[in-house]
Amino acid sequence: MTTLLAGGLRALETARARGVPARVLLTPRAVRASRARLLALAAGGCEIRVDAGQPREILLVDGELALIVPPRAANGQRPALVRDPAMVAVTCQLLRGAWQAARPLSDFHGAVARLRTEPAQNVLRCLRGGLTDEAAARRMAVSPRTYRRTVAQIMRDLGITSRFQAGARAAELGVLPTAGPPNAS
Amino acid sequence: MPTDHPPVENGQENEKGPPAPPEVAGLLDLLSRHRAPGSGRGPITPLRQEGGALHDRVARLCATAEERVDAVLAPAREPARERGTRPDPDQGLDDALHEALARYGGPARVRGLTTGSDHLAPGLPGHWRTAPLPPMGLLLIDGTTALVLVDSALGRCAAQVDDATLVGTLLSLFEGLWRRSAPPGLPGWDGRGGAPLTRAVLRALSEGVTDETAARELGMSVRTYRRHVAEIMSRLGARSRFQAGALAADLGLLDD
Repeated sequence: MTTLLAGGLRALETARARGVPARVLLTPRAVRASRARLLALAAGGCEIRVDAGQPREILLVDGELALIVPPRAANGQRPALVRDPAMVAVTCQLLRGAWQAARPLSDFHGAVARLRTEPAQNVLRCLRGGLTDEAAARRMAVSPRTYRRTVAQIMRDLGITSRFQAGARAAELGVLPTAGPPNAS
Repeated sequence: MPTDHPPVENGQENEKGPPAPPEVAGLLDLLSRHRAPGSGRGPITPLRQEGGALHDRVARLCATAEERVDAVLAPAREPARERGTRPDPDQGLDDALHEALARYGGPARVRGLTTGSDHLAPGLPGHWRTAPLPPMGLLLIDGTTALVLVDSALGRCAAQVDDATLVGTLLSLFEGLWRRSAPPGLPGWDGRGGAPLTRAVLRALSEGVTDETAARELGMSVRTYRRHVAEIMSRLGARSRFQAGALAADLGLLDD
């Protein structure tokens, strides 16, 4: 867990302890790094959503103050504390747009749990192995149609629409089984 | 995310504590520059809405764009020209943004987000996507200057932002929304192949558009597009699109 993520979580925990409404938007990577604390925050009433996107660090307080920490790679940028009403408001609105498109943590965990079950892992193993649908279906002793239906459910759980996206998202979520031959089930 | 200095975190001035470390000193410096009256081109300049003068200012700024113009047009109400009533002063900047974009004829690549096509007059240049957006107006010129229009605690307000960090943040947030919007358009294609084309194809793949859509937006046949995809897969050592996605993600090729 990075120092910034730990600091951010501490800020949220402090806010919630005082009964202040709090929301946090995280990448799947950050969710994996801080699972236990996020579950505690969620139980304490913090709204948590997940969005795979460019990592960034923005803290908005009371809609009046913004603390912006640019990514290390961003040249010529440095941390900024902003009180200007227009700048804080536009940052708020853009983040609201991102929030709307993001997935609640409980959905995210449900999907990840489903993806870690044996049947899903078998399918993911086939996909990762680059097998054609027909070969994979044969390997798993199911009809190609059944196989494709299972793949479609997995893609829904991953929240994407194409096979390429599925691979990328599965890698990012850390649900890909370790390399090895697909099991016959 | 908060530093280890609680007074900054809570928005209080630290009058009696130890001297501020360099990062905090940097923050305070930004703040005081913003507050100094008559400081000229500070990081944030409030804009007053003055009809024609405002339109001129926005148009002039937009015209300076050389590489890219990224815009968000999400007015709270329909533009004055469509309502047929007396123009609402609050609509001044929304209209100014819209008009500056409609008239832009320069070399920059234009991309924009809007809440619905009914907010777009026909003939806005560049690629436009729709997204559910809260009301706001935003114009990002060459990734270095921003014009901002939003409702805030002080009412509707507008500002020009010149600070690298702030404009960079707005651009990054814009990019995030752009990638999640539809219908997709594909920036960054130079028509000559090479690295920009690879990036454009990877972007199309990571956005999950159909091959037909991707090919159309890139201005090539579906067969040519699939050839580019096959080449990328071969370079990645992938036998399927799923594998390609997993490998590309692991290699950080989709991070940009």
